[in-house]
Amino acid sequence: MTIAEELLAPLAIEHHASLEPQRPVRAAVFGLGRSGLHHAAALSTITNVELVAIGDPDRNARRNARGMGLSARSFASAATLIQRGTPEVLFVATPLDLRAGLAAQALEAGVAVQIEGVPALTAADAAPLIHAAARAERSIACAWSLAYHPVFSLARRIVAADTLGAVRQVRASRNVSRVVTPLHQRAYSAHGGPRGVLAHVGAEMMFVLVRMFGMPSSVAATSQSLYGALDDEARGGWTLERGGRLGFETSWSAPGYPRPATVIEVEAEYGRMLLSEDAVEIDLTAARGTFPSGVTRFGRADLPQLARFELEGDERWLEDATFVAGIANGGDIPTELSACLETLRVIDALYASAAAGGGAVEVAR
Amino acid sequence: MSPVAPPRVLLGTRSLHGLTFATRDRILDVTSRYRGPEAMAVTISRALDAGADGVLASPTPLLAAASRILRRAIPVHAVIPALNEQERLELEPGVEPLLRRRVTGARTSAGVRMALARFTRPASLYGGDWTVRLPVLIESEIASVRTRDVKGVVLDAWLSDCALAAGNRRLFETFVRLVRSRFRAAAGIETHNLGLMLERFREWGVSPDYIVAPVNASGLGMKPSRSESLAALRETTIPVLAKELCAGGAAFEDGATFAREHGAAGIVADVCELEDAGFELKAVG
Repeated sequence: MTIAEELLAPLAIEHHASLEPQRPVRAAVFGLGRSGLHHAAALSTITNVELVAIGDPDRNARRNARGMGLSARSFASAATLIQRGTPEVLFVATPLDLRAGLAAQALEAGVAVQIEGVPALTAADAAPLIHAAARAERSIACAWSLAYHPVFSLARRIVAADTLGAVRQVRASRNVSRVVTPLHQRAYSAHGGPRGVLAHVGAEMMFVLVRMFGMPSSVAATSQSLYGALDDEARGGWTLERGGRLGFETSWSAPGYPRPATVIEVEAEYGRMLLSEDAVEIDLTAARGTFPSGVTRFGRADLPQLARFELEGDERWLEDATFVAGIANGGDIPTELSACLETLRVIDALYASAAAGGGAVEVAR
Repeated sequence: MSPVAPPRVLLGTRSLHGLTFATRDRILDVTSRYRGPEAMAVTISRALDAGADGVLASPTPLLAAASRILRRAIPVHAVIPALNEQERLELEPGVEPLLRRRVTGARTSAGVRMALARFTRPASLYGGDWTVRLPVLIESEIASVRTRDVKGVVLDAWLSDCALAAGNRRLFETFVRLVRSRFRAAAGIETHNLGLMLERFREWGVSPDYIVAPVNASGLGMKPSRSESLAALRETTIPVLAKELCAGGAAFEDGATFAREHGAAGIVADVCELEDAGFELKAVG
C-alpha cells in the first residue's frame, strides 16, 4: 500500500459512508439566484433526496428556475413553501440580510436549515439561531465550501494527527478580485450589513484555521477600506495554543484572482506544510507516522474523488450531501452553526481590534 | 442525422476562461502568454498545420483578432455562452442574464437575425424559459463569428450541467435540432458529469454530434466516478471528445493515448496543456 493509499483510505471510507442519506429526505431551496440554483442542481443528483419545493420572491427568478428544468413546486414566500412543500431540510440562499430571519422561521416550523454562508451574522446574531435549533431539535448549518475542499480536509487530518509536531508559525492568505469599484462594494453593503472582506471572503479561511489550529484567546487585526465604508483588505493574527504565531491577510480587491485563492504555510517542529486549493505539500525533517522524511505532495488527483456531481468544483455537492446525509443518518455536519460560532467570535474580535486600531482583543468564549 | 463527422483533434482554449484543472501558476502563465492575439494566432496556425480539425473556443474578441491576423479560415467549434471566469463564478445560470449583456456589439446581419429571434420569442412571454429563448442566445453569441467558419456549436457546461441535473430533456433536444438546422454544424455539449449525461441521454434518446468531457487517468472531473464514466464511455454510441487530458500531471501524449484507448472519439488539446502545439499535436494526430 502506498503512503497516499494508507493515509487516504480511512478518509475515503469515512466520507463515502457519510455522503449517502440512508432514507428519503425532502429538500427545498429558497432563493433562486446563482447559489440557490446550484443547491437545487446538486440536491437533484443526491441519492434519496427529493427536491420538493423551490422559492423566491422574484417572479423572474422563479421563471428562470423553471426554465432550467426544475419541476418542484414553486413559491413566492418562504412561509408558504414551508407550509405547503413540507420539506425536512431547507437551503436558504436569499440575499444576506434575509437569511437569519428565514432560518429562524424554518426552524420554528421544525425544518432543518442550511444557510449560504453566515457573513451577515455576528456571534450574537447566531446564538439565537443555535438556541432555536436546539429547541426544535433540528440542525442549522452554513455553507462554507472551503471546509469541504478535499485538499483542506486532508491537511486538517495531517495537523490533527500531529504529523508536524508543535506549530511554530502559520501564514495564511485568501484573496479574490471581487470588489474593484465602489459599485461592487455598495452591492454588499446594501444587503450584507456593515462588514466587508473579513466576514465575507475571510470567514471560510478563519473557519479552516480555527478548526486546524484551535481557538485563540486573543487576536489583533487592521483593515483598509478602498472602495467604501466596508473593509476591503484585512490582516492580523494571534498566538497559537502551544505558543506559535499565526498571521493572515485577506483581500477581495486584489487583482489577478477571479477565483478565490487560499494559501496556508505552516512551519512546525518536524517540518513545513504548504497548502492551497491545488495541493498540500509537506516537507519533514524525519519520518513521522506514515510520512517519510522529505517532501510528500498530494494534488487533487491523489485524493479520493468523493463528489458524484460537479458544478464549478466538487465542494458544493460535498457540502450539500454531507448536510442531508447528516440529517438522515445522524452523522457529523462539520459546518453546523454551533461549530461555526467559535469562528464568528474570532471574526467579531478581529473587527473589534481593527476598530480599535489593531490592539489585541480577547475572544469571547 | 449528423451533418459532420466529429473532430478527432481540436485545439482548446477553455483554460483561458477558467475551465481547467491546471494549477493556478500554470493558468497565470498561460493567460499571460495569450493576452494578445498574436500568440493565439501562431498557436492556432501551428495546430491546424499539425492536423487539428479546428478550435474549441468561445467567440471572444481574442479569437476574432487572431482570426484577422491569420487571414485563413479557422474551423471554429464555438462554445456558447462565452463567459470570462468572473462571469462564470458570479452570474446566475440562465439565458436572460446573458442576453442582457449581449445586446451591443453584434454585426448588422447578425443583429437582424437576433432581432428576428427576439421578435418570435419575446422575453415578455418566454422570459426565463431556457429552451424557448435558447435560439436568441445562440444568435447573439455567434454574431461575432463568420457563419461559414462555424463547424460546431457547443453548449457550455455552465448551462448544460445545471439543465442536466434538473432533467431538462427539452433543452438538449432543441439545442441539437437548432444547431444542425440553423448552422448546418455539429451540435456539441460540454459537461463535467459525463456518466450522468450519457445515462440520461440514452434514456431520453438525445444524440448530439459529440460530447466534450474530462477523460484522464487520474479521474479528475470524471463524475459520478472514474470507473462509472469509463464504463459509460465504452458503451455509448455518442462520440466523446476528451479534454483535461493532463489533469493530475499526465504527459500530453500519455493522456491522449489513455483517452483513445478508453473509447474517446477525439481529443481536445488545451493551450494550457501544450508547450509547442505543432510538435505535440503532430505526435498525437
